[in-house]
Amino acid sequence: MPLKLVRVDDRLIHGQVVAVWLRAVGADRIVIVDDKTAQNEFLRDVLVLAAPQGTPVEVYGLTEGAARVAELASSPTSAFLLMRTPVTALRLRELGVQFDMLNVGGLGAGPGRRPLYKNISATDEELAAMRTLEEMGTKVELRIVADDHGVPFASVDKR
Amino acid sequence: MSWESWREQNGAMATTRAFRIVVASHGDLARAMLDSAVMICGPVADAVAVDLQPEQSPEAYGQALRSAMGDDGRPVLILTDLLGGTPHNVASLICLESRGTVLSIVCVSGTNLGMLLEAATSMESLDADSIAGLEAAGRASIVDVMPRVDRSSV
Repeated sequence: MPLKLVRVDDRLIHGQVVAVWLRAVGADRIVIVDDKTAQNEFLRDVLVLAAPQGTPVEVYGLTEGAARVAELASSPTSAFLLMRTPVTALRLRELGVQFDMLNVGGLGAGPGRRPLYKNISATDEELAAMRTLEEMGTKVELRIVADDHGVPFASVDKR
Repeated sequence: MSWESWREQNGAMATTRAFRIVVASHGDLARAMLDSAVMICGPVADAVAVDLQPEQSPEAYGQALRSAMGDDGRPVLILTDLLGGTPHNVASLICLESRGTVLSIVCVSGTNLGMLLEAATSMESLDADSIAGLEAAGRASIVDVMPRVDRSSV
C-alpha cells in the first residue's frame, strides 16, 4: 500500500501526537528513517516504548529505509513514514521513494534556525530542501496536529 | 555549587534523602507541580523543575535536563509528566545511557502530585523497594470517590 503519511517531526514519536495521526490516516505501523536513530540502540528503545501500544515501529538508516519503503508499497500493510528533518525527505525522493505530500509537523528553534510558522523553524539547508521537494512535485504542508488546518510551505517561505 | 551551600541559600528543610529530584514536563506543569508540593509540605530540598517550551528542540531540552541533574554525582530521580512524551523520551535516553556507569538515574513517568510529595517527603533512596513505594503512592492517589464512600458506610 502506498504510504499513508510522510511526516517531519524532530521529536519523532511523542505524546499523543503520533496516536492521533495514526488514527487520522489509518496507518498500522510507523517507519522511522533517520541515520542517527538507526545507529543508537538507546534511542531506538526509547521510541519503541513511546509508540502507542500494539503499533510496530521500524527504524532504518537512509538507504535501508528507502528499500523498505519500496517493499511496503507492494504489501497490504499501511505505513506512516516519520523522519526528523526535511533533508531526509529530499534524500529519500532522490533515492526514488515517491510521495506527493510532505507533512512538516515539528522543527524546534535553535541557533541557525529561522522561525517559519508557529513553533516550526528551519535551517537554510532545510529551507532549500523543502523548496527542492516542491520543485520535484511534492507538496510541503506545515501542520502540527491532525486537527489543525495545513499551511502550504510556499505561503510562509519568504526568500 | 555544593549541596551544603545550595541548602543554605534555599533554607530548605534538612533531609535524609540521598537523591536529587528533577521534575520534567511539557510547558509549566513541572514548575507548577513543584510549587504546589511546596505549598503542601514546605520547601523541598534539592528539587528542580525543567519545563519543555513549545518551540524547544529535544536536543536543547536534553541539555537543560542534564544541567538540572547536576554533576556532583548525586543520584537523580527524574519524574516526568507523560509516558511517551518528549520530556519522558529525552529523560529515558539519558537514563539508558547512564546504565552501567556510576551515575544512578531513575526515570518514572505519569507523575502526579501524590508521587511528587512521596518522593519529596518519604523516600530516602532510589532502591527497588523505594521505587515500588513511589509507584504505589501514585496509584493510590487515583480514587473514584463515591464507590469508596458507599462501601465504607455499609
